[in-house]
Amino acid sequence: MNLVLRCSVLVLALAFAIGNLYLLSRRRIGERTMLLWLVGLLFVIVIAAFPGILNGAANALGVSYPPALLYLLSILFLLTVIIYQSTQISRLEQRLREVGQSVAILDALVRGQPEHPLRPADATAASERPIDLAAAVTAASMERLPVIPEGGDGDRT
Amino acid sequence: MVDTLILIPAYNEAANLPGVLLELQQTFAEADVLVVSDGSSDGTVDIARQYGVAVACHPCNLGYGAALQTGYRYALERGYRYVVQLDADGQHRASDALSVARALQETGADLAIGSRFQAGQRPSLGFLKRLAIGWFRALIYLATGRSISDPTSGLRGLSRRLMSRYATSNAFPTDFPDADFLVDVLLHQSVVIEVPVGSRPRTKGQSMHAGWRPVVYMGKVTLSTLVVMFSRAGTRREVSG
Repeated sequence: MNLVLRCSVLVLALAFAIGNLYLLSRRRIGERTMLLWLVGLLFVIVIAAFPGILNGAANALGVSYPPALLYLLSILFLLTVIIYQSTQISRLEQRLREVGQSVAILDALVRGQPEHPLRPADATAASERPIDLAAAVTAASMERLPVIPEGGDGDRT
Repeated sequence: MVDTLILIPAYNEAANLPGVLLELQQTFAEADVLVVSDGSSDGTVDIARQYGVAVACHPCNLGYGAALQTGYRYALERGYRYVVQLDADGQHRASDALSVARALQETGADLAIGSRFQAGQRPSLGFLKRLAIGWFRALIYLATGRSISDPTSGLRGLSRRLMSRYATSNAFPTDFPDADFLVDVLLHQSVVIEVPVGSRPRTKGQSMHAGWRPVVYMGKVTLSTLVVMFSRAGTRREVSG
């Protein structure tokens, strides 16, 4: 690899690293994801600085065309990153679902089960049963506020 | 004492919901009703509230299975003994929901499936849907040795025991809980019965299984069923080993 090519690869890798650090400083990328990219970058920088490593590794592994080994390793690295990202997306989906469900349930519990318009008079509504949940306690306390007779504390005077 | 909750998962069903709720109020007045709106944007929530039923409203679309799970969690919090779930598109009759609830109460079963194929019925379904049903039947039979005539029925009744098992976060498929759910239920030695019900074609709005979606749906449920089978086999080995 000639010097110009080596320098341009190094400059590109450094520019990429600086871009990543900028994203990190702006909090647009998490430290953990960042770490993964930095490992990849370190690999590119090392190979650009010492191309002999790649040639040596290719010889040792019996790869006749060293850049093919580079492509293979790059693809494997990118696949690892993508699988990692997929697991993160699934985790986020699961958390989003839990939050969404909890919001929906709490809202429904706070509003309470409305009386059925056509229910027979003798049926007792489930809303009268005790429920053990913080929001339900809030709902219950709102429903059972002490009734102050008209005229305020008139009976005490 | 109200011990049954009718659970209606709904996504943009403003056109069909009034008919469903009205029929329920006339035929099955002894149950409470919960509509779970799965991020609807067409006034489904307002309509449900107008009809005086409880509404749980997902802030965004989380999936059919997630809507069912929200209903189970709500039912557990409120202390209902049974949940009967039916589709918001009007294809299920309120009287059939009532028979599913009764079957659950009388037999003490964990799961009652409202089957469109019992008693020699032949509902008119599209080719892909029929194919999916046949495939799921075979899958369930292979996995559990049990024949379930209507594995994709949206009309089902669950006992409190089953609700609590599937109320936790990762225990329930979030998109289409069909064959995978049934295989899991059957492998847990739960009592499953089928109740003959009728069905009507949807008149308004769009189905979640329209177009080519049944193909994707079949692939997803098949994969999910295999996961259930393998994870179950793993658990059994751990227990015996």
